[in-house]
Amino acid sequence: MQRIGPARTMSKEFVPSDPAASPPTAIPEPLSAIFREHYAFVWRTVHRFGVTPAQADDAVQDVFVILYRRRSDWTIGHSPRALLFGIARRVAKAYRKKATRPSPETVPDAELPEAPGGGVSRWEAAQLVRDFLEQLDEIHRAVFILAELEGMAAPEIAEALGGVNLNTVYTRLRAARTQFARAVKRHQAREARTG
Amino acid sequence: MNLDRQARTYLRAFEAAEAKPDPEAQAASWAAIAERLHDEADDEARPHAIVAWPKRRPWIAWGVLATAAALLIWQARLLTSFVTGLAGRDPNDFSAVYGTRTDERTNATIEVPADPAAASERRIEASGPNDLGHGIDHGIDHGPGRSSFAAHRADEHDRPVTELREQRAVESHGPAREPQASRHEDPLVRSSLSAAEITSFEAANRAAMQGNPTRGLELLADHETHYPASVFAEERELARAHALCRRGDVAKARDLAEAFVARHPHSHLAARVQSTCSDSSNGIEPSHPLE
Repeated sequence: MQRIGPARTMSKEFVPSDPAASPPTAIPEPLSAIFREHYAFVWRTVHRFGVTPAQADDAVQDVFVILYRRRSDWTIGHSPRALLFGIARRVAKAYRKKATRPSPETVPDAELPEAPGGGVSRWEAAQLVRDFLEQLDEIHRAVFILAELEGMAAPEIAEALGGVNLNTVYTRLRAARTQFARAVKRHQAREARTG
Repeated sequence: MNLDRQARTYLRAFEAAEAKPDPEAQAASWAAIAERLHDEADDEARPHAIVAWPKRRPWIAWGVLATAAALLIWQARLLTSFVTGLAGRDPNDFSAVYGTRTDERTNATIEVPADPAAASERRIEASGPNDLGHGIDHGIDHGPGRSSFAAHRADEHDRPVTELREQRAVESHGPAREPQASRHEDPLVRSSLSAAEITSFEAANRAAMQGNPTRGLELLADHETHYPASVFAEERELARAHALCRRGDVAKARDLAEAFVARHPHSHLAARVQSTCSDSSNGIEPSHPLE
C-alpha cells in the first residue's frame, strides 16, 4: 500500500514556492497536489465551522501541516476530502474556542443568484441558511454541509465522520433535511404573511 | 427525502453570499506550510537532548494524587446518593398510602391500600394525564409510569434505534421543535435500511470506486435487483458512473449522468455525477504517483 512520501523526502534544499507555478521537489508531490485541489474546500470547511475569514488561512495551514504529520494514516482508496474534513473540523473547534463570533459577511444582493421568490430576497435566503447551520447541532451540521453544500455521497461522508455507518449518515441527513425544509417553509409563510 | 428546488435556491444563495478564500492568499498559505514543514524536518533531524526531570516533579505527583483522591470521594458520594435514591422509593413513602397485611394462603406480607382513593390517585398521577384508564382497560396495572411508557414504546417499536436517536438529537438541538414526520411519508424510508442492504451497497461502492470497476458494476446491478428503491439509489448511480469512467466507458458514463440529472434534477449528487469523468476528488487512482 503506497503512502504519501515519508519524512526523509523533506530536506534542506526545499524551497517554498507557489505550488501553482512550480511545485517544490523536496515536498511530496501528492501533498502539494492535495493542497492545490482542496485548499478552497478546507477554507470553506473551517469557515463554516466558525473560524473567521481573518483566521481561516492560519487554520488552513494547520490542517495541511497536520495532514502531513498524519501521512501514515492516509492511503490509496481513502478520500482526501474525507480526511481533510475530519482534521479541519477539529482545527476549527480549537480556533472557535479562542475566537469571537464571526461577523456576518456582506455581499451585495445583486451579486447573489436567483431569488427563491415569494417576496424572499436572496440575502434573506442566505441569512436563513446561515442561521439554520448555526443552530443545528454539530453532528447534523457536518452531514448537511458535506451532502448539500459539498455534494458528497454517503460513503464519503461516513469516512469523513470517522467511519460511522451508512445508516447513521442517512438518518442524520434525513433529519437535517427535514429540519431545513421546514425552516424554509416557515420562512416563506412568514414572508407571505408580512407581505 | 431530497430537498426541493426552492430549498436548494436558498442553499445556492448561501453559497454565493458566504466568504470565500482569496486566491492570492493560497500561495502565501502554501509558502507558510512549506516553511513549517521545513522547520519540522530540521527538528526531526536534530538529535534530541536528554531532558532532565523538572525539579517540581514531586509537587506534580502530589497534585495528581490529591486530585485522584478528590475524584474517588466524589464518586463514592454519587454512588451513595444513587443507592439512597433507590432505597428511598419505598417504606415510609408507601406506608402513608399502603398498609400491610398477611396473605392467609401464602403467609406472605402484601401491601393493601389503606386509602383506596389515595392509592388510585397516586396511580393516575404516575401514569400521566394522557393514560387515564389504560391499566383498567386491560385489567392489569403495570405499575407507576408503565402505561405511558408502554404506549410510547409501542409507537416507536418498529423504528430503527439509530433513526430514533438521531431524530431526537436533531429535534432537541435544531431550530424548531415540531412533531416528527412519519417515516411512512417517504417511500424511500419505507424501503429497506437493513444491515444486509448496507453491506451489499458498501461492497459494491468500494469495488466501483476503488477496486475492479467491472466487478463493481456487477455488484451495483445486483444491489439494484435486490433493493430497487434503496435510499442509496442516487449514490448507486454515482458509483456506477465512476466505475464506467474508470473502465474507460466515458460515453456511457455521460449518458448515465444525463439520465440521472433528468431523473433527479434536485439531487445533491447531480453535480458530482455530471463531473465524474473529470473528478479526481473522490480518491486517488492507484496509478497516481505518490512518491
